[in-house]
Parts: sequence; C-alpha cells; structure tokens
Amino acid sequence: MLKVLSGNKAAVYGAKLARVEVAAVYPITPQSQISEDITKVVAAGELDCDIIEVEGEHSAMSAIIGASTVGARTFTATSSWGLAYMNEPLMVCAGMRIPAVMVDVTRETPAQRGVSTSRQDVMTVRDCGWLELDPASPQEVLDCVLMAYRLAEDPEILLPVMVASDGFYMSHAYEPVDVPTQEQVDKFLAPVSGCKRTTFTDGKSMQFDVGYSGPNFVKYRYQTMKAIEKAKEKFPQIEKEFEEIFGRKYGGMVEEYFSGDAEIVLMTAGSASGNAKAVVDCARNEYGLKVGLIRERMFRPYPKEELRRILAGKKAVGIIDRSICVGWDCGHLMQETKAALFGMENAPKLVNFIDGLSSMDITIEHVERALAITMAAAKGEQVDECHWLSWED
Amino acid sequence: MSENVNKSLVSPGLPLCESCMMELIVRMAVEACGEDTILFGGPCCCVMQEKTSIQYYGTMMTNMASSASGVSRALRRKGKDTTCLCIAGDGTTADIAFGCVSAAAERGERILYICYDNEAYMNTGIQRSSTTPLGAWTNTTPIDVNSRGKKVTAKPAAMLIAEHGCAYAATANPAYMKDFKDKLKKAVDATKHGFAYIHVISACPTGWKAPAEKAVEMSRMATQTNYYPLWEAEYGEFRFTVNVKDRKPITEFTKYMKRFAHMNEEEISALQEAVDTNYRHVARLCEAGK
Repeated sequence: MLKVLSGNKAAVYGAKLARVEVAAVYPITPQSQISEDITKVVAAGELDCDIIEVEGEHSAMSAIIGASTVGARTFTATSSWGLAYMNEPLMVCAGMRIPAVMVDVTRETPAQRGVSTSRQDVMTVRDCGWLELDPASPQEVLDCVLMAYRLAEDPEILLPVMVASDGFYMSHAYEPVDVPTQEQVDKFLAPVSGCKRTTFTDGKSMQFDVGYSGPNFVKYRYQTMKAIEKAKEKFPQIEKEFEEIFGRKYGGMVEEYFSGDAEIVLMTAGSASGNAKAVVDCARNEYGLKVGLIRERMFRPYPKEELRRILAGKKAVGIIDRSICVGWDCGHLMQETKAALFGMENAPKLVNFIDGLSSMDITIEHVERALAITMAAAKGEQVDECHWLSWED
Repeated sequence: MSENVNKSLVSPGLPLCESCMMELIVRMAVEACGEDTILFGGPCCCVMQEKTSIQYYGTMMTNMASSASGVSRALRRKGKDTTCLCIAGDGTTADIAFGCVSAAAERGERILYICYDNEAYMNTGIQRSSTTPLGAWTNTTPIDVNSRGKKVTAKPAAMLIAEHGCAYAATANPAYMKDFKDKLKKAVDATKHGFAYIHVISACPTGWKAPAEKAVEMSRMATQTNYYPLWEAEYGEFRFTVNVKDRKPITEFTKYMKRFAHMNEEEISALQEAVDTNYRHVARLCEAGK
C-alpha cells in the first residue's frame, strides 16, 4: 500500500513487518521518532514486542544483545553521540556474532554540538564488525531493514547490520513509500524461530561471551572476518529474492547509474545521490557527455572487487564524501576506494570532494563543479586531490 | 560446562585468594537460585565462566544489568522463569554501571542483582571505589605527606538502590549466614515480580591487608560495630533483620586491617562519626516502616 512516509517512519514499518520481538528505545535527534513510533505500534497492539525503555544507548545496545542470546529478533535505533556512547557494546555485539539490526540516523559527531547531517557518525564505527547498508530514500530504508535481517540472520554471516539513514534529508523527508503486506514480508523473511543459531534455549549449560585468548581468539577473529566477506556473495542473492517478491531492485552493493559506457563517473552514498543523478542526466542529455554515477550501498564489507570491476577503464572518478578522514586529508569513500583500486592497471584518476557537512546542502551547482573538476583531471590537468565544495580558504 | 564441575553447581576449586569471601557469596547465591539460572559475570574477581554448570553470560563492567534486562525480557516472552542472576563488584555496581543498575531497578526488570562489596577495585590491584570507606588506604588513596587515605565517605549504594522501591533489596553479610540465606530466598522469589538486589559485604584479606583467617571474624565485626547494618526493604519499606544492641566502637572492625593502620585518633573519630551518621539514617528508614 502506498503511504507518504519519512525515513524514520519507513524504518519503523520495516521493524514492524520484520516482527521484531524486543526493541530498546532511547531518544536522540534526529532518530527520536523511530523510538516513539515503534512504542506506539506496540501500544496499539499492531506488534507483539517487548519495548525496553533504557537509560541510554549503551544499555540499548546491551539489552538487545542480551535478548538476542535468547533467540529474539531485536531492533534499536540511534544517531551520532548515541552511536558513540554505545561504541563499547557495539563491538561486543559483532564480537558475539549477534544478528541484530539497528538504524543509525546519520548525524555529525559530538564536536561543536553538531545537530545536523553528515555521515561522520557511522564512519567512526567502520571497524566494529557490523555490516553497513546505505539507503538513499525512505522506501529504501524500509527495504534495507528487511534485507538487513536476512543478512544478519544468515547462518553463514551471523553479524549485526546497521542501516545508515541520512539524518533530516531522509529521516524527516516525506516521500511515497510502497509498504509491503505482512504476507509478502513473511514470505521473504521467516520468523526468527526459523533462524538456526546457538542461543541460551539450546541447552542447559550454554556460556556466552566467555573470554578467549591466544590462538582461540585469533581463530574467532579470523572466522568473523570470513563471515562478513560472505555478505558480498549473499547480498545479491537476497536482493534477487526481494525483487521477486516485492518487485523492486537497487543494484546490489553498488548501484550503477549510466556508468556502463561512462568515461567519467561520480560516486556518492545516501541522500546526495538524487542531485548527483540529476547532474548526470543533464550532462548526458544536454551536453552529450559520457558521464555516470555509482552509489555505494554497502559500506561494510566494502565492495572492493565490485568497484574494481565497475571502474575498470574509466578515466576519472569524482568521489563526493559527507564525512572527513581527519588526518588523511580526504573523505572516507575516497580513502576506501583508493585502497580498493590500489595496484589496478590503468586505474582511473580519483578526485575527492567534501560536501554536505553539518546539513549543508550538496547542491546541483556543487555536484556540477565536482564534475567539471573531475573532467579536468580526466584530461590530464593537474587538480588537487581533495576539494571542499562549500568552503574555501 | 566445565569438566571441573561435579555435583555442586560451582566448581570445587576456584583460583581466588585465600579466604576470599566472594567465593562463599557466589556459592550461596548460585545454590539459592538453582539449576535453572543464567549467571551474569563481568570482568572482575568473579569470573565464573567454565567454573559453573549453570548457564553463563560474560558481560562488560558497564552493562551487566542491561544485558540481563534483555535476556530476562526475551525469556519471559518464551514463558520461561529462568532466574537471571547478576554478580558484580562494587566498582561495577556503585561506580561505572551505577546508572545501568539504577535503570534496571526503576524498570522493575526480573533480575536478581548481587553486589559483592570488597570496597575497592581489587581485581585491578586495589584502587579506590566509591564504596571505599573514609580514610582507608588503597593504591589510589595512598598514605604519604600529601595524602591520608580516602578523603570522602562511602557511597551508600545499597540504600540508594533500595530507595528505587524495587521488589526486594537488602544488605547481607556472610558472617550472618542464616540471614544471608533467608534474604537470598526472598530475593529469588521477588524476581518473579520485579527487581531484587542484595548488597553483600565481601571481606578481601588481600586488599584490606588483613590476616586471611580473620575474614569471617572481621566480617562479623562490620555488623557488630554498625559499620555494616543488616536490613531489608520490600518495595521501599525498610526493616532491620539483625538488631545490634550495643554497637562496638569502629576500632573493633578497623583493628584487623592495615588499610586503616595509619589512622590517628582524630581520623578514627571522623570514621566513627561517618558510621554513626549512616546508621542513624538507616535506622530512621527502618523506624518509619514500623
């Protein structure tokens, strides 16, 4: 059924349709609406779920880890300082191979009290062992929550998944969203009881999160590393099944938009992709330029093989980042893509653009400027590696 | 389950210091809860993984009560009455996770939370905690030209939790074993309805710099001097469970321990004053409930 929903409301529909059993709620802007609405859905009798009203995000994460060890399907949401505050159990969650799903409504981090959008918060936790999906619309938020449970609960993965929904630009933007029926979702996502994994209910002497050291610790970490890599194989399969049931598709780990024959490619993640697509349309239709766009949809595991395949033979890639790698003089997509393409023959020239920090708009004009600089780089002109589109010295 | 565990629910041999009272507290607590129990332990002296035949969940210092909240909720949904037993030290309970314990108490989570209070961070090597008594030596409250032990009085953690009005809260002392066992039974029953909390004094001869063979004797003195009064509170209604007629002077407790050995007359009388003030406060609460 078509409804007009914000990203936050779409996230709650996702959790509701996934039939989550235990949810921990704690407010923080711009996520609070998720905490409110999941509680209201339960209050209205539309979802049979235990709501744990915790005293902070640290406990929110801890409580859902606990519930998951008993086999419950769990959900929580956070943002920015909340994500930073739960960093400790966030690592434990992945360390314990807990198939939790969390929506992070992206926001600047605590410095300068940044109550505004960027993708800085999720980038600070990129090595915690969570998978990360990056939707670009409220519809995709809902769909990603459903797919996130499939990934998390896959017996070959069993790791938590974060859905990073851009603060304000998506969390508070209302768009038509096709809300699937419960029957459709049940077909796609079996009840959690169908998920084979070890829980406290398996036997009378289960021990969870015990200490390991030396070779056992190393073995466990090695297994975790291999498990997250599995997501690269599973995600396209899950998306294919999703398409068969819901009739929507997004293109896997990296969405390609006219990138096939393009010589110049722009790269984005999240909500900035809309304007970037508009610039690509204009460049192709009005100027006949061979320009395309790729949108990163899965940040962890990073789709490095996929990027090498897509970007082979391209002249230049203009990477627009909404977060900064302090100490690297670039953004995170830039740093990771550069590493992904390292050693590739005839690798494209990479140019980085920092924009959209602190809820500054990534405007059409900014993206056009980024494209012009990337095209200059493609022609062999000397350009700086990193450009700030809304700030100059 | 560890092969070390035979008939008892807790392994017969534990790698703890001589006369560690915590070992006794854990054995009593696990026995009272029975087989259908999940024991939560954190990174402290009381790490019971592979040392117990009941189920075990290792948490961080910061999140034992919230982890147990999640486990408890998910168990109740499945119609299970499995007891969720948290055992944590004073550093975890009264310091780093105090907010987390308070929140679980406020929510009325069906958990039995036991704090074994050895009055300092003993596992990391004797550093002061908020329950370290006034004037006591620790490695972070040294005795030197500019320092005379802990400068402030202990946080009354047990009372603060009881004041949440939770289903059951009590202080206990292994030297008063019947009282302790009665309280464990009541606390386990209380978890059928809500949050239960027992704060147990846990003599630590290593950290208190006291002779190991005096562990029980000095524990008894803690109550006889009113340093550690024994009470219980059901839904915030307090009552004494052990009445001490003529309290002994605090020196009858401090005399066993080198952590108090530096204290002069003035410092001892300040500690005595702190003990009496705290006792009067508890007595007022117990009196009000009559």
